[in-house]
Amino acid sequence: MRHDEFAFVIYRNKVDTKISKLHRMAYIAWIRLKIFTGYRLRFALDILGICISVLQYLLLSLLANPQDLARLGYGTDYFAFVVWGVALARYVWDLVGMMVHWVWHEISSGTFGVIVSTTTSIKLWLMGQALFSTVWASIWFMGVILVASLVGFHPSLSIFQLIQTVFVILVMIIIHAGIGIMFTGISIYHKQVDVLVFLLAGIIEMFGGVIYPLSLLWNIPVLYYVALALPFTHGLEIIRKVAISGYSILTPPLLTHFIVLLSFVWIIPLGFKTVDYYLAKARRTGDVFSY
Amino acid sequence: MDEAMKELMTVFSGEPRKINILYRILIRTVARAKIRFSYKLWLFFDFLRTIIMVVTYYFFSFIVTPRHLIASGYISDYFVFAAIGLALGAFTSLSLRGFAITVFFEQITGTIECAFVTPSGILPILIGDILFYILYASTHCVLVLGILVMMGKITFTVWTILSVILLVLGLFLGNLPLGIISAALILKYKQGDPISLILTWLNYFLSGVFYPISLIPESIRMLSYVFPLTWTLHGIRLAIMYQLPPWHSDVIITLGISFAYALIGIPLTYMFFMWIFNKVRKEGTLVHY
Repeated sequence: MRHDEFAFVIYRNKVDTKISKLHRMAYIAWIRLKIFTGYRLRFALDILGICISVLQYLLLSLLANPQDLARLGYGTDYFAFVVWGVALARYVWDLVGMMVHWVWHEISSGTFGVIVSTTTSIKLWLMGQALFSTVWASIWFMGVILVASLVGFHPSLSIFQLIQTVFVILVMIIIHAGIGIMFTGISIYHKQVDVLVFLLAGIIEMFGGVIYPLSLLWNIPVLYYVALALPFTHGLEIIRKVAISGYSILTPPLLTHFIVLLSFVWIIPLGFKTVDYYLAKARRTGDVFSY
Repeated sequence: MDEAMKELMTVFSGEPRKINILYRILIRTVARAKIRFSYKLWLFFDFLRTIIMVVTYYFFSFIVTPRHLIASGYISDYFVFAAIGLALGAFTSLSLRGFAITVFFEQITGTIECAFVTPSGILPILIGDILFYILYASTHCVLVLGILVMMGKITFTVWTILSVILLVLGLFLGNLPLGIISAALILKYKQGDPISLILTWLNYFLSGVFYPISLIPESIRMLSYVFPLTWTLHGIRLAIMYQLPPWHSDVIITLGISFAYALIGIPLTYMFFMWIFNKVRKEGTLVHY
C-alpha cells in the first residue's frame, strides 16, 4: 500500500478502522519524515551548519586550558567535552523545536482542526510527532558526532560505557519529549510559542554547561541551583563523566544525578495534561481552527 | 483611519506632492520600528538571548588560556575579546540580513509590486528598513559593550567612542554588498534567506568572532580576509582594548579597507541586483513566492 493511501486509512473517519495504535503512531512519524526529507535545500543547509559549527568548536577548543578542565574533573580534551555538550544541546533543541514547529504548521495552515476530528486520538498523533522528532533529532545528533570524529573527536567507549551513555540519552530524550508535548499543548491555544523554545534553548546553553564546566557556577549559587533545576544539566553531566572520564553511572555522584534526572519523568504526564487542557479550552473558545 | 496611517498614506500615495526623500526614508524606518516593537515578548527574548550568549562566554573565559590572544596582539582577557566579537557578530548578521529580510517580507506578503509602483519606489523602502535594522543591531552592540563597561572590563574615551562609531559604520558599508547579493538571490530563487544564513555562519566561523584568526589553519585562513568583518573586528577590538583615537594608524587602515569594500562592492552588487530584478520582471515572477 502506498504511503498516501495508508495515511488516508489512518485518518479517515470510519469507526471500524482497525489499525493498532503503534502502527498508526509509526505511520504518522513516517509520513512526517517523508515530507521533511523533501526539503532538500534545508537538508543541505543543516549539514553545512553542522560542519561549520563543529569546526568552530574545534578552533575554540584550542583556546581552552586543558589543566583547568582536568582540575574540574573532565579530562584534558576540551573538544570532546564541548562536542558532547553541543551534540546533546542540538538533540534537545531539534526534538522540542521540531514538535512545536509541526503543530504550529498544522495550526497555521488550518489543518489542525481536521486532525483533531479524525478517529486517531490527538495523544497518539502527538506521540507520532514525538517519534518523528526523535528520529530526526537522532540523525543530526549522530551527524554532529560523525563530523566531529572526522576532525579529531575519538570517543573510545567500552561496551559498558556505550550502554550507559545510550541509556541516559534515551531517558533525557523521553523527558525532553515531554517538554515538547507540553509546549505543543500550549501552542494549540496560544499559537506562537517559538519564543518559549528559544528561551529553553538559551537557558540550556547558558545553564546546562554546554561549553563550560558546570562547576564554574559554584561561585554564583543562584545560577548553580537554576542549572540543577534543568533535566538537561543532569543528563549532560552523567554522559560527560561516563563517556570522557570513564566513571560508572553507579558511582554515588552520578547516581544522584541520575535519580534527579529520573525524577523529571513527571513532565511527560504533565505534557499530556497540558494538551488536554488547552485543546478543551480551544474547543470551548472556538480557537482550534483559528490562527 | 488614525493619524499615523494618514501620514503614511500621504507619503506613499500617488498624488503629486513634494516630500523630501529623507522624510520618506524616516517614515519607513519609523513604520518598521512600530511593527517590530509591537512584538514585545519577541523583542524581550531577542535581547535576553544576547545577554545569555554574553554570560555563557563569560563562564567559558575562566578556562581559557590567554596565550593565543596575546600572540595575536590583544589583551589577555578572553571575555572582552569574545564579547566584542559577539556584539559585532550580532550587528553584522542583523544588518546583513536586514536588506534580505525586507525583500523577503515584501515578496511573501505579495506587496513587492505595490512597493515598486508607488511614486516613492523601492529605494526609500529599502533604505528606510535598512536604517531600522542598523539602529536595532546597534542597540544589541550598545547592550553588550554596556555590560563590559559596567563590569569594569573596558573604559571609553570620547575619541574611542568616535573611533568605534566610524568603524561600525565602515563595517555596515563593507558588509552591504553581501546583503545586496543575498537580497538579489532571494528575488531570483524565492528561498527565504538561506544565502544570508550561510554568510552569517561563514562570518562567525572565519572572521574570528570567538577566536583569533591565527588559530584557523593557513590553508583556509586566506578566506577569512575576504570577509570585511575580519578586518573591522580586528580594528574595533584594538580600538576598544587600547582606547585608540580615530587618527591612529590601525583605525585608519581598518576604515580604509572597509570603505574600499563598500566603494567597489556596492556599485557592482547593485548592478547585479538590478540585473536579477529586471530578469525576474521579464519572467513575470517578481511577485511569486
